[in-house]
Amino acid sequence: MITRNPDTHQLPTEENNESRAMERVSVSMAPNVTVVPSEALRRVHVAIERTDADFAQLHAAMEWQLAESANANHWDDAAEHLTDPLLDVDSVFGITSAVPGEGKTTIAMHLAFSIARNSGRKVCLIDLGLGDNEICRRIGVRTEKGLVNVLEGEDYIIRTLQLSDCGDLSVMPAGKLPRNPNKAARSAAVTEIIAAAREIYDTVIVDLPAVSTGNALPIAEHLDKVMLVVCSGVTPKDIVQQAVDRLGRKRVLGVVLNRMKSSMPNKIQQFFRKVA
Amino acid sequence: MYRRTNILYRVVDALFRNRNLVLITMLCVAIPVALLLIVKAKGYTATAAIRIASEGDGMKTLAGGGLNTDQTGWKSASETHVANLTTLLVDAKEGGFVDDVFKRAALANPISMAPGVDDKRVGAFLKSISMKNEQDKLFSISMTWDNPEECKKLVQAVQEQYIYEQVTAKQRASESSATFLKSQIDQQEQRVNQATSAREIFRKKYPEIGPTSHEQALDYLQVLQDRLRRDRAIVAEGGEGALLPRTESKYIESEGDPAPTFNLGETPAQKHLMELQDKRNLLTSGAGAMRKDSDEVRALDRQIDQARLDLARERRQKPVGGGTRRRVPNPLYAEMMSEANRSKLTTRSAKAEIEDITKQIVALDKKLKELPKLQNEMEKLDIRVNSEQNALGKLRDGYNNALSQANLEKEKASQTLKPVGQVVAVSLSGTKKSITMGLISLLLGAVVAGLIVALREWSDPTIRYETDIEQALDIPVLTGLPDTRAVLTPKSVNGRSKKNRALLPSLDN
Repeated sequence: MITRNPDTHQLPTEENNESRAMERVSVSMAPNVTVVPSEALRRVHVAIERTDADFAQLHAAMEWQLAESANANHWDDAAEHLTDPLLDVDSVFGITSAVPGEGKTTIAMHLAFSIARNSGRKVCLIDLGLGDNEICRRIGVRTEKGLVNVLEGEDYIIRTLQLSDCGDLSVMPAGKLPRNPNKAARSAAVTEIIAAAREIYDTVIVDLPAVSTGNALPIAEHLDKVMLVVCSGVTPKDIVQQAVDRLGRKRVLGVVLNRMKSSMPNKIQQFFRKVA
Repeated sequence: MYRRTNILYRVVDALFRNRNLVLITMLCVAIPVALLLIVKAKGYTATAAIRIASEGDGMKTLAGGGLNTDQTGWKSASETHVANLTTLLVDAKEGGFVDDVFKRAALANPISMAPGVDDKRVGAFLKSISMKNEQDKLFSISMTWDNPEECKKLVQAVQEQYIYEQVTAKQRASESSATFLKSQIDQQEQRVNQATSAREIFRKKYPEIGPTSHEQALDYLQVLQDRLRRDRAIVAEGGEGALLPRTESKYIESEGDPAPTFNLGETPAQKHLMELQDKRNLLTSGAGAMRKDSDEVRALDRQIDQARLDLARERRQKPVGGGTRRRVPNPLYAEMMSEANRSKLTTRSAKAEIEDITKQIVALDKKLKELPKLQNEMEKLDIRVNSEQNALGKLRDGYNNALSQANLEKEKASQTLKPVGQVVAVSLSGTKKSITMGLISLLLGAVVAGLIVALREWSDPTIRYETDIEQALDIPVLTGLPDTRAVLTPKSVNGRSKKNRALLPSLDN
């Protein structure tokens, strides 16, 4: 768990907030963990149960795509870095979208839940969406301090939530709406936080802001891969194309097409599934 | 993962997704169109059929051989007639086919095609009438019109006028040979008249020319020569001795006497008749011929008639043996007396007569020399007249044959096209028609809606299916997640309820 150094515990000032945070944030397994009871997550669990197959499928697709890209870049990377490519496994994934409101937070949450429940890995879900503490609001936990406080230099302790009945899943809540999201996204603490999470957890899922806000790219630079969420029937092609170009085609693991809906009756859909 | 890449799936999905648009478009298109069709279709229709009776039995028009051939090279008889009628209907001017149709229809409110009169019903008529090829030997003429009576009359008029035109054309063709022969006959009659008039002129010029004119001239020459001899004898005898003693009466044998034998050529009556005839010939021929109606010639004719009667009576008398000889008046006495008077001519007058007779003989000889030539001329004229008359007869025979042939052709032509059934105007409105038009309108609405949906889908810039991403961005699609927002977002979260569901201790402490 990430916590602050008790020896250097003092209130940060505005000017040296960022550099000090870098120094003071340290990685430890301090007991700053709040366990969220399963009853509190009942509603979320129902949703998870219902969509678990889809997110398990997404997880599988991720794994397969990672393996594909690893195979594709295997010999180039080995020659360049003289390292064993199999040891350099991507473990930090960001989830973003071209424009806000395409369902990236939902997908990040459920993907993390699914991986934690089904794979037995240590999974961390980081709320860097720079929104109004979206993840905690969705799981129904009230927090007033979180990552945003750290990014803004107000705090040095990064608190995590441990969700019961969800495997080994930890959530780093945002805590609050950042006063200056641009500044928060470009904070040096981001690097530190992600590096710490990479060390502690097997898989790290980072909920990123939308690309169109301009805050996704500074954070995505520290991530291994990024998944782009596209809302079906809403996002124009050229916007998605611009987002991919800004993120870098190599960094984009793939696209998750969200909110696919059909107006056809179920029977007709079943007919098409049978035919297919 | 089920990827919705099937084009049929996308079409059906698009239709369901835009179902409201489809419904609204269908209704917006179908209702006005249906109303328009029903309103426009309000009227009457009439159909007339024509059967091709005698032509078209395997009759096909070779490509290029006729006026109406399609690209395939063959046309049935009914197709040819439909094309002909279509061509005739183009003739929409005064005195043309369409005008004849209007006249034949005899409408209560006649349609005029006179120049300067812009009758809109002409255009409506040409627009509404249509021809259809039903079978190889059957075609129909249909028309939609506001007035049922006018509709029926117009269609019937088109039918009748077309049949009339076709039959007339065929009859005209069949009468052409007769017409030609008729003109030939007229010319030949002129030739015959010319030949006949030429012959008549010749006959008037040479009235004595005939088949026996040579013999007559010879006879007359003989008479002249006899007279010449007698005159010469008179001159030789001094003018008195030429007279033979004549008696006023003569005796004939009565019954009981030995039957006298009468030689008809030698009887006095016979001789008297011959002399009278010779005298008459002398008077009516030659250079100084007297007119036949002159008093002298008439008197002579009466004498000849009397002589003929006497001769006939003489011949009827049958002499009986043992009869008595009785005195009968000599019928030749008067002639004898005149002869005696004539015989009293003086030598001088005999000489003058000899000169005259000689002149006549010379003229007669000259005439006899010219006579064969004139007779040849006459024969030529006769031959010409006869040949011209023969040719005229032949032409008349041919004309009669052509006329009978033309009549046969006319009869055949009148049987070529036959109207089928009766023309009846039927109302276009009705439940069945309305349903049909409604269905047509709905179909049209569906097509328009489909086009609008297709246009909308084509112009949709958003990403909707997995294949859109792969085609547009060339980035792998990890998965497609269904829209489960309603399930995933609890009411408390979605509604931003201030009441937290999870009652947890604050992490701030």
